Amino acid sequence: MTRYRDERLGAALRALETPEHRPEFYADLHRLLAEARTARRAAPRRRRLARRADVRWGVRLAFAAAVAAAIWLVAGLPDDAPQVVRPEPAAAEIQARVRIALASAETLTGELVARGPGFEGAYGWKGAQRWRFALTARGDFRLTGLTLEENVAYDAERGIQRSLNPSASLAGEGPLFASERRGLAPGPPDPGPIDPILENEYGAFVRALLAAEDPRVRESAYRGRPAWRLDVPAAVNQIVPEHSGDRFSIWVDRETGIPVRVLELKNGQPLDELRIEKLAVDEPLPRRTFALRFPEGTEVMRTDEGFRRVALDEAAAAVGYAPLVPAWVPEGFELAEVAVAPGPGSPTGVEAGNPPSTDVVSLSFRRGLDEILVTTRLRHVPGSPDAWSDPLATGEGYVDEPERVLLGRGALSDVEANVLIVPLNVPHLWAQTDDLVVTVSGGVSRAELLRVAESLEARA
Amino acid sequence: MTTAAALGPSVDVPPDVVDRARRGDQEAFAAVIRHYDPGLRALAYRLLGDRDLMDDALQEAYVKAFRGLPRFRGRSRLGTWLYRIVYNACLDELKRPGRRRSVPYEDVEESPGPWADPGEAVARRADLAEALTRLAPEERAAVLLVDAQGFDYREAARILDVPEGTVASRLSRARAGLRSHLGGQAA
Repeated sequence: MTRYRDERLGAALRALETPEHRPEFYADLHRLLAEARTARRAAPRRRRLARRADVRWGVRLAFAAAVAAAIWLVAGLPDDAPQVVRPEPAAAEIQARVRIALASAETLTGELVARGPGFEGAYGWKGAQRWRFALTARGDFRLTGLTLEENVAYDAERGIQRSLNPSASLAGEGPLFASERRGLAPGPPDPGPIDPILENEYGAFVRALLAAEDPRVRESAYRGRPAWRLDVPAAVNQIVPEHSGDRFSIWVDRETGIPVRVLELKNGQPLDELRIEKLAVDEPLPRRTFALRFPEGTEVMRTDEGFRRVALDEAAAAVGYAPLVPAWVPEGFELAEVAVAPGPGSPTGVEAGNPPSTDVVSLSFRRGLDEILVTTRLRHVPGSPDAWSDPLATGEGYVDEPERVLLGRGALSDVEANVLIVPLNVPHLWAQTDDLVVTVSGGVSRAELLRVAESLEARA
Repeated sequence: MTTAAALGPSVDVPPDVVDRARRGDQEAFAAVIRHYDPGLRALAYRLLGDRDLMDDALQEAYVKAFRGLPRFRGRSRLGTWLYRIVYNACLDELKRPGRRRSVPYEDVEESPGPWADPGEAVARRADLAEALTRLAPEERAAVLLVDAQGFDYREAARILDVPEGTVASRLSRARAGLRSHLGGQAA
């Protein structure tokens, strides 16, 4: 079957008239967008924040691993130290070193450098861009642009993210755009603390590295320090393949076990590069590091995503059903945060195609900079078809091909789970029961994901 | 009234505007929507056949886009991403109980345009509009995205969430259907 465009038909179709919007369309839309910023419409079972101080606010693993993984290193690979191919056990040993480093680190600081055609296409950056960053095991983060005017801070203790950037709608030296986000979820698939660079570009790669089976390993070096280089195959983006690599290489510093450099490669040629310079581990950080003050008189756009922290035994009453809680998590992980969002909320899935997330319970388990998230939400939403797809789908041209596994124990016994472990996404699985949609995600292995899922029990 | 322009797949919003919209700048998001609205409005209207349904679906889609934009990675065209959200919203609208799958185009007054025979031009447009309503929504979407709005098969496949081969077969059926309904005229 030939592929062509019928230009004559196209011209005729384009000549068809399309009605303008009704007069109140944009006014209604602006009202809806304002409501979206405050996230939640009135929900009959809404509860206010119960407590805060004693519970560590989990930093999304993507972010934590992203910062660690933000050290992407590339250019000049062939000129690096002599490369020796290692057998499989060395790869597992290195992955274990990285896990230990991430699980034991209390803080990470340094400078993040990013460059490449993918970043230019996505963000319009010309040349290398640089930020100073700080990250804690409690989940705080701070990102300060050194080449771009950008400032983002997340205070995990208060659960508030603030950012201060130039407004896109005003050219030149206009006022700074200030935003404050409250009521954040611990992490995906729900709206949590976000910085697109760290979260979307770096964290997933490291987590996927940790979950990858048999990554190729070579001895290498980074900035004069001995390192290992691990290679992970990648899926090519179907929409913009010219900007999408087929392989990722990650350099791990041998002394600290921290990933220090990531390179996206296509046909052996480097595409995007991400690296960390001036890395410091466990450097003491004052609390004011994560406090971002707005200039006096700045108009602040405030958003409430609707999540409230509660004690675990309060979650069921908050949402009206018994959430699923794991009876087993990998050694060292502890329950750090329980967040609930009664009522309807944000869409999830590929291009937000799922029914509205309703009555969500999000559990965050933390171990150093590592995090596991377990979420449940109602499957049947009035007014929406029962048509769910992966709430954590990669999307944007990447075609996910999950592994289907029939779970054998716990509340998900005899339920088919979809397991996805790919470089550009957080390792995760999702499943549906008769009443709930469940996700388990985090920088853990496939076996650990499945074991957590099979340990889930309803907690009334 | 406006005629649909094939803006979506060929022209993108400046990345810095997208970046600010992603961070919740409502004015920046409004700029993004204004840029893509003509093409999205044309797609929605031709799928749903009713202005109120079109506006309802587009409002729902735009709010979803606003909420989902912080997680948009920028690895695909923003336009492609938006078209997919709108297409899904239109399908949801068509699946709602009580909705008719095909609604007469009551709100549209076709203007004659600069053709030699204004009466014939109006009649042709009305015939084509009517013929479109007789296609299945999936086939209608394929011909609107590829022939009218200029998406290539790959991007249309991502929007419709089907393989490229399915796009080609739907196009073939759509064009054949239009030719059949029009009696060998415009198509």
